[in-house]
Amino acid sequence: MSLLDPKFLARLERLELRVGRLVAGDRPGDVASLRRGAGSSFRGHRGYVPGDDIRSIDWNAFVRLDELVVKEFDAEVTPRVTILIDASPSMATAGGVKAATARKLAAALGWIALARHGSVRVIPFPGTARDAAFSGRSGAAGFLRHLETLPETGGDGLMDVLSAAYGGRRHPGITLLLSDFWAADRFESALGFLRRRGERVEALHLWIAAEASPSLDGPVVLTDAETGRTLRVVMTPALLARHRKAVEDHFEDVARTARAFGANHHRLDAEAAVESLVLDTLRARAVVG
Amino acid sequence: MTPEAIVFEDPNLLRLLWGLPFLLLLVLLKRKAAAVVVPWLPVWEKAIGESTRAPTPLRWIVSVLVKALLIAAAVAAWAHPMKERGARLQVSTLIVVDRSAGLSSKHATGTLADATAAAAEGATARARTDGPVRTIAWSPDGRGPAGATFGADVPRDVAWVARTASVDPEMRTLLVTPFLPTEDPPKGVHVVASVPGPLAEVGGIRSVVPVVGGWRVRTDGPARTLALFDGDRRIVSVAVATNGETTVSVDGTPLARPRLVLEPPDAWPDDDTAFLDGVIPSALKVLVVARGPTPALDAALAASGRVAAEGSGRVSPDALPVSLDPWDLTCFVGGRVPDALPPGDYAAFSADLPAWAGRMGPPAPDSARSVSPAFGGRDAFDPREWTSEVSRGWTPPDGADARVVGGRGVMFGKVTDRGRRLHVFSVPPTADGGSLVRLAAFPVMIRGVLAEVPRLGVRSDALTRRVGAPAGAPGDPRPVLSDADGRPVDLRQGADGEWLLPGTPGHYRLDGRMVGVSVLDAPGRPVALPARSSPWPDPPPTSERTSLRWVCLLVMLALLFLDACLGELWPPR
Repeated sequence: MSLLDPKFLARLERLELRVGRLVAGDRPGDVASLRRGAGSSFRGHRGYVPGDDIRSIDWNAFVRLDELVVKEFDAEVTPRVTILIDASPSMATAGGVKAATARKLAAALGWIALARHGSVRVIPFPGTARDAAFSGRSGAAGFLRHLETLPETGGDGLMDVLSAAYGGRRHPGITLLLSDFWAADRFESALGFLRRRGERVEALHLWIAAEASPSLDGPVVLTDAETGRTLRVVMTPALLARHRKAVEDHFEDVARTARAFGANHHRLDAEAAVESLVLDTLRARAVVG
Repeated sequence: MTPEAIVFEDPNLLRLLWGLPFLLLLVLLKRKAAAVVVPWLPVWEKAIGESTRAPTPLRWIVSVLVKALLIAAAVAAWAHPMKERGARLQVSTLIVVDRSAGLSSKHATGTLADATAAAAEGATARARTDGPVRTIAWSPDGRGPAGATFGADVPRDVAWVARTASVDPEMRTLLVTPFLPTEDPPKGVHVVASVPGPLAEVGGIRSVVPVVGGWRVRTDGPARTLALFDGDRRIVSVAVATNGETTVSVDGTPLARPRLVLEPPDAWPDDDTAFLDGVIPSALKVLVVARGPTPALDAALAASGRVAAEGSGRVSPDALPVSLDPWDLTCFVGGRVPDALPPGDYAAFSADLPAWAGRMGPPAPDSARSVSPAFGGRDAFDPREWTSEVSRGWTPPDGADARVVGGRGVMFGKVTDRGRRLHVFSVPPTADGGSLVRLAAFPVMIRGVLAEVPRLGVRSDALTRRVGAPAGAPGDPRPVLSDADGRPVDLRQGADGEWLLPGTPGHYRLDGRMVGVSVLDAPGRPVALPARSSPWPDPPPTSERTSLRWVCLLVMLALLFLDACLGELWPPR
């Protein structure tokens, strides 16, 4: 478990993924949802209507009020979390900072779910690498080892991956999409697919400052990390300025697209510590709590 | 007007440009393209596509070249380029007209001064076309040695005049003179020798040699008349031939201020006059005291040319007169030299000497062993062949001058005591005395004895002296100099510390003696006038210079703008 510090893992056990109203689990668990259900968290009373389970009638209230009321509780579910982690070559640029941060971030969030007896599936994309599923605390160790050995993948098969991974599933869950979102067009169809599936999508957009403002000067041969295509240019202040603006525009497009498809977009500095990202940034944005 | 040209105020700075090609090569060759892997190339393509000034390698090279030109323009601006256009501008002219004494000589149509004035008028009129003109007359009177009146110092004197005239220091100075200097004039001084026409031949007194009863004078130049004056009183006149030699004889009348004058004066009158010492060279009266004939001695005395036939004589030692004052030299042959000799000059041949003159030994064979350096280098007069069977071997006192020394003592020498000068020979001047009278050195010895005679008195062989010549040897006490009327005259010192005679010819009193100072053979004196005028000195070419630094700055601005258009320095739009 070299991905994350044990102390950090211990702190993560006190957190839970905020699943929200739209999320339900395959089976009851101990993560409170916004739905009414057979949980342990008392939600309130309402009048009895025929058809209610008579086991939910609050008889003490009937004695005091001479009126039949039933008790309601928040449904507690086991979160079903799908981690779509970008393992394309673009994540390996700039020393692989983004890829490393994506694995740590996936490990932390998956660890939170597993600690709550949830289930976690790790699906690297694009490519044909097989996904892996883990559930409960017993699967946590295997989950972390799997992330450590996650291979770099390539290709354009994100939709194929999603179709295979989500085929036949009836209950929506949480999808954590960790990527640098450079190939924006490939994500539009994926986000649309996940929206139709009712998934709650948290788009975790990893970036580094050097992507916007590289320290380059003079003649440079640029090579695309994923396609290998090259471009000979001469770095000038003007070109760098225009590139910086183009990157900012791209990031804005990514955020706009994500919101358009009902996903929560979070732009995260990949060079920041994962502890800070989880405990500060994602907690502040109610991804974890 | 001359063509325009671009010049730099500090062209050495342009050498910095030699480093520019190396800098360019360094940038172009060392700057290889860096390979960078980017996550998504289209975003770069989008950034490049947003500008019509896509930064290509060619554009980068152009940008580098533009920067190089920018550096070159900056260096050129630093070196301060200027546009130079040649021009002949107005120039001030100072015309110095020679009015020195030499111009009083006759010329073809008048005097040289008249011709020089006419030439000065022409020069002034011509110089007015070049700018303002100032004309001054110049004479060297009172400045420097008169003998250099027309020598090489003339242009320098004119330069001094120009400086003291307090006019424009950039002016052109023209010296109008009939004489060309022998040296190049100083910068800024142009000699306009523009007096045409023939000039009378010039000449002067070149040497004056004393002879019995007068002087032998050598002159050059045309045939003229040589006159002897005593002050303003003409004594005698003789005709001199062209480049000839003549003798001026006088009757022995004492002259206070004698001077020889070539008449009439020519363009250089200074060397036409020789100021002589205030005495008359006269023949010496010699008394020979001997018991027998001394033909060899008599012949040597006569051959010297210094002995007067009248007044000289011969007596026996028994008839020695009480007073020897009437004779300039007394020669004792054998016998004994009296102890009480009055001051004067004496010679003793194999005679017994007074105590102050040393001691004579008995007759014995002897020969010359060593000779005084006074005979050195003159083999014909070397007395080493002198031998005698009766040489008495003189033992001179301390301080005596031994000139020929034999094996038994001094054979010929000189001793001086309280105004008495005694020349001593150890043998008689006869055939019995050995080889002395047959030696070629014998007449020379006699002539040397006679030559020293006047030096004890007020007379001198130096009948005239050159202007500026040494008045004494270095280290001598300062002589007392005054003019002929007794007014003190300052003495100048030479480079070696010797005291120099005045530069102006005339009569002076040097340590109480009347001496003459003359110009003889003035060095550097021109001997002929130019046949034609020297070239007219055009005003020095000047130029108009206009700074072109602003052009460099404009070029730099243009290059900066071009570089900005290449996308290097301009912020993105």
